[in-house]
Amino acid sequence: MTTFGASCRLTLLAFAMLLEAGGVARAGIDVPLEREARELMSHGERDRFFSNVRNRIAAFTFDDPHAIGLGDPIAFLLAKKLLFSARVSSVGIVNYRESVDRDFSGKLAYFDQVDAITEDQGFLLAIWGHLSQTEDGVRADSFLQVPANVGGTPFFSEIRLPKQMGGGTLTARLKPDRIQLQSLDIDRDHVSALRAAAAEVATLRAEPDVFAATIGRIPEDQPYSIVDSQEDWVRLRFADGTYGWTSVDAFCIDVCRDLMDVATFINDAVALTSNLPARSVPESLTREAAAMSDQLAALVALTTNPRKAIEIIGPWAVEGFGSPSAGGAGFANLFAVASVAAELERASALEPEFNRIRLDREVVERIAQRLAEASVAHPSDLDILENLAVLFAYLGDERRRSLALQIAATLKAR
Amino acid sequence: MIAPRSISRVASAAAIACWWLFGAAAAADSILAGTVTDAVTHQPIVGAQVDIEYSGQMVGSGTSDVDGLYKVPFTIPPSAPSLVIMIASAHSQSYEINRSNFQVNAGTPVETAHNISLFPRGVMACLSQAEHPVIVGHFLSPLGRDFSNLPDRVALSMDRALNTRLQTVHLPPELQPSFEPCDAAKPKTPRLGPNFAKALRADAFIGGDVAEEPPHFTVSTYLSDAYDFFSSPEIAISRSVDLNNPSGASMAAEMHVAVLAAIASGLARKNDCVTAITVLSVAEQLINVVPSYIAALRKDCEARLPNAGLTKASP
Repeated sequence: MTTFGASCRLTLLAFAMLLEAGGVARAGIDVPLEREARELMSHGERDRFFSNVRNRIAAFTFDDPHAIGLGDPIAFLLAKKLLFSARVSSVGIVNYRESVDRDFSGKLAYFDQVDAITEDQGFLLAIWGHLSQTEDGVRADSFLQVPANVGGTPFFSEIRLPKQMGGGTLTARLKPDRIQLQSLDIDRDHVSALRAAAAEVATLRAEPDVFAATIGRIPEDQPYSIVDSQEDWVRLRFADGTYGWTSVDAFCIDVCRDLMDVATFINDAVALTSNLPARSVPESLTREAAAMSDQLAALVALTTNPRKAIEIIGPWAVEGFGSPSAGGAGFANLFAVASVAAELERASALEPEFNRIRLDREVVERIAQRLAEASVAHPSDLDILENLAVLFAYLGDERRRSLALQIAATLKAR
Repeated sequence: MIAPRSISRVASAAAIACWWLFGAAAAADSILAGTVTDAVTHQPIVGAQVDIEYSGQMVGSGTSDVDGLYKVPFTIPPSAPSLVIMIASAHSQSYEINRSNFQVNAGTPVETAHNISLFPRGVMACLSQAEHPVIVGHFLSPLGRDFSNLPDRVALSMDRALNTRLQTVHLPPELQPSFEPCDAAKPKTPRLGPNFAKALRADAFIGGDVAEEPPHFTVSTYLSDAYDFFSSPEIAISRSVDLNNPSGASMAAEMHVAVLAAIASGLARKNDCVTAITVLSVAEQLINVVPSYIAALRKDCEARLPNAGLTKASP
């Protein structure tokens, strides 16, 4: 190793550390799921991975009850695609892999591990899924989870009413918080191709080229960050000071590309929360995914541009919020909150003193009526009930206000 | 300390021996009567043997008649107190033995009829500890084919497919269905599905048959519920199933929807319409054309919720 090489490495190292210190980094780590779950249970809580990074996302090995052997390759590919193609500058991806240690007694069910870890780590988003055998091959169902406690995350927004209207707060949040993004059928011939693609992505190369010399593999338990990129290739630096090039797009073709739509969708969702422009939802994804994308865009627009939020929700309102549809409760509530916000915005053109605004009772009554109908179709939605209580208070309808609060209290007590 | 107890033990043993030697020849002291029926079909069981035991000794025996009726004379040991608990033990071929207690007061059974129900052999083992079991029973197979592991595979497949969806709506674990394979549960006709669901204290019972259409199989499944929600079994057909594949047994979406409806109807019956609607909302997402029974159950539940009062303006 020449002096130049060594100093170059030092410079890069210092550069990377500088980036991480400022919370601007694209970093990843691969860890065993069961060890993390077990240590979480015995210690109560774990140190957070990449705690200074803004957008922390988990990709869990897919539950694989039939031992198809695709749980790890799929999660690995998704995790790397999330990291390598992230649209924001501060992102940390934790890939939870299947554990070799299978004799863990009192083992939690897969989903409970995912849930406990996601909550403890406070991830912005988590991907998990499960594999099932079908007549023609394998079906990979991918799910996305938004943390249940959303305070301080971009998945929650609220507007305040003027003092003249009681000064209450209306809240809106992303609903549902667990959605199925994709149900992908992988025929038998492509199963081994997916495994091979994951193995290639795990292989580190000396140069950003498929034919370059291989110099190792991405190790477990060692954090790494992106220090350079060239087209589809990224250069990773590992905690032990080693480097290597790899790429997802160079090796992931055919059905693997469809699978990567899940990661692209999540990267777009994260970009949306950082006020980057929305992109269209890939066709291989579910209607729920499309609903979530629109709901998130509307939620982001809610406080600054409520009319835009209403416009985004519009197509989902055609079916009527009283009928069951993807993201139904979330849209219905968001529509009501955005409608009030838009009315307040309109009224503020005439009354510059915000706290003196009083909206037309008939307008508010109409909004409340639609929301009440949504409450019947989605009786477990607390936000709808609490927002109704605020609106009924303004309307002076004490019976309905206390009924809404009473139903909400019953739900909370469950 | 030991001696008095030994003496009393010897005394009571002597009393039983005396009764056994002399009392047995004497006329019966009492009669126990009742019916023996199939726990699932409720049909009478003919020729079931009913033995009556007291303190480890058989004190009477008889068999049930063509209507399942039995009348068993038995003797009461003179040493017995006036109020005693005795055991009726009933068994019959292809049924599991059933032992139940009955009380005798002053020589007369307290119950006027001691009715006994017997589970078909192997079925009782399928009684689940889960709060919401769904029993996956036997699949009738073409001659010479053994698909006895199909209930296991169907149960696993449905568990993964449905509970994953139910977890997305935060259904608490105790309310999630537990799919229990039970190859011993073999209804003679699908109409007996509800009986199996009720007898096994399950929300629903799934059975089916397999038809061979080389190189594939057609698997017909039917679902019955324990709440008389479905007036006749709900049927779904999965065509071109590759049963040679050891783990593949994915069910038609219609079957998943029917299971969810059965669970929701059970919740609605227990007056938990909030959770019932949550379960229905999952079913509504699973299928493009929502069956009318789902819509009807939702409407019924919505009308029962206090939330309906929020839509009516106060005077």
